[in-house]
Amino acid sequence: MKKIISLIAGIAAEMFLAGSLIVIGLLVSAAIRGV
Amino acid sequence: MKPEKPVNKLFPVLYYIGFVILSLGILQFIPAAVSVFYAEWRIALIFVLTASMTILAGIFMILSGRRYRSIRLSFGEGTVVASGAWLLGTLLCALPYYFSGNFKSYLDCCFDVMSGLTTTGLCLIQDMDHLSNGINMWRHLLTFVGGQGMVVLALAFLTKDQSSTYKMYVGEAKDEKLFPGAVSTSRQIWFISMIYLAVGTAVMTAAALSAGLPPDRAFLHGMWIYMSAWSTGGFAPMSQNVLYYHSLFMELATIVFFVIGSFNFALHYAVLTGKRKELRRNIETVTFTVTLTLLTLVTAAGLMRNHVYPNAAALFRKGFYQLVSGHTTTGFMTVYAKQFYHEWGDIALFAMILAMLFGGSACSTAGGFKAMRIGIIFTAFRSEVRRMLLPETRVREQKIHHIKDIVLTDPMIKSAFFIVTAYIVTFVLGTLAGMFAGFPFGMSAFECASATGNVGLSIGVTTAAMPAYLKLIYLIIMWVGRLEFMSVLALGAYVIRRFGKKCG
Repeated sequence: MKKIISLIAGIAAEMFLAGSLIVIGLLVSAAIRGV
Repeated sequence: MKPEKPVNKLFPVLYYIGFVILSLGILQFIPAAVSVFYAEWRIALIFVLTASMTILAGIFMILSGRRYRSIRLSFGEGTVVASGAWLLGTLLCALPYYFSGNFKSYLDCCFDVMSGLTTTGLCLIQDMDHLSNGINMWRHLLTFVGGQGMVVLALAFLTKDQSSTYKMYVGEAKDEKLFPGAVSTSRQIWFISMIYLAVGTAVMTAAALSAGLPPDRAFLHGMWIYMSAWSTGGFAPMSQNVLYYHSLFMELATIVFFVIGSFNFALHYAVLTGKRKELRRNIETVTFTVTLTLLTLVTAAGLMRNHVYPNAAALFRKGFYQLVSGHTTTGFMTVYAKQFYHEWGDIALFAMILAMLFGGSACSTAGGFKAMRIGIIFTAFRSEVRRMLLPETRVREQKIHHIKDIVLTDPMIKSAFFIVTAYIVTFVLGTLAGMFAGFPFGMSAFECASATGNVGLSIGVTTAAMPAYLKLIYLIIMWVGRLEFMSVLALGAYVIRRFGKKCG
């Protein structure tokens, strides 16, 4: 059970990092081009 | 006393290559099953025929080397197994393509197989929008297996842990062990990939459904796009690539999966087993975040200067998407190839070329210099500057963090510089070859960076109409880039040595 929770939390953490990079892309695009 | 006869190392090398070939033969039954399910009888028959040929070739090699299997391979011979298996595997995996009639020549078939296995994504296939499901399954399966590594596949499922297996594992440019043995490490790599295959296929199927595809097509497209994203491959079932779906959901989901796919397998293992802080401390994630942010700024500024996209949403969906796709060495596209050259302008193209060369993480599915090496070179550079500016007593040893703190040593710096230099030399020679074929500098450099970094973004150079010698050069570049030079150099030296002995 502990292993499965760790696995799910790990996948969520990796997705969060990928999501953060998307946010960087959005912010840079918005800062340079304007909304 | 009679002197002991030296052992012929060709047979043990063949023995191990045989396992890789055997696994590639068995793999062909997957697209055969898909073809049977969709009543594509001709394609199913082709796969059964070519699978039988490949399996027989594998068994023949294993049997011919079986007597010598206890002989330990040297590091050089282990890397020869890896590079030889990739070469022979390419020739055999191209057979279904050749018999399918979707290619103009056998060279084109080999090009697409090498592109798939190296997770590049450049393709020469004809009439992509009307391919059979079996052939599409084979294309995406090749890129999925290539991402994890062919040798890793054979090690995980067909061999026992032996001293020689680690040398083959290293030969495939994966030099990190998650477990003490190469076989258990290979199994763990496959375990991580299969977990993500389940998660990713579910998410991408939902994205394809939301884009309006019927359920069975949505599942196939979702699975194939996921396989390509995770492997940082770049193949897609339709010729317009990801642009075909016109779906923000699909674009965001692919970014998430190809970014994760470009992470180091050692990092995946650490994070999935509870060390989640590793994500923000690891040298590769830090380096990747910094280079991606800087290159996003340059690309966006370049596109802004040329007034290419009218608003931030378009800039993000076109500019950022291609950049992150290039930086992770995926090659998914939401623009047409010619738009790069005719609309993007030099600044954005320059940033794209740098991103493609930089690439993703070491010991991952990604290509390029790798964030680890960029991080090491930057740390070494900073250390040298400090050494020059500060008094000797204040200069400390330099450390990098990758799973644990590692003291930066001269051999590590030397190795990083050597590989990066090899990539740059390959890129320069490939660009020159493109210009000899008549393409302008910008197009040649972009396409060659894409081949060198195993990316797959195209500016329009890679077509079935390009000269055969350029196809061959790109094919070799993809191969050496994926195996990070040493294995292919070892194979070249091995062949020359054997050929030299025969001639001498």
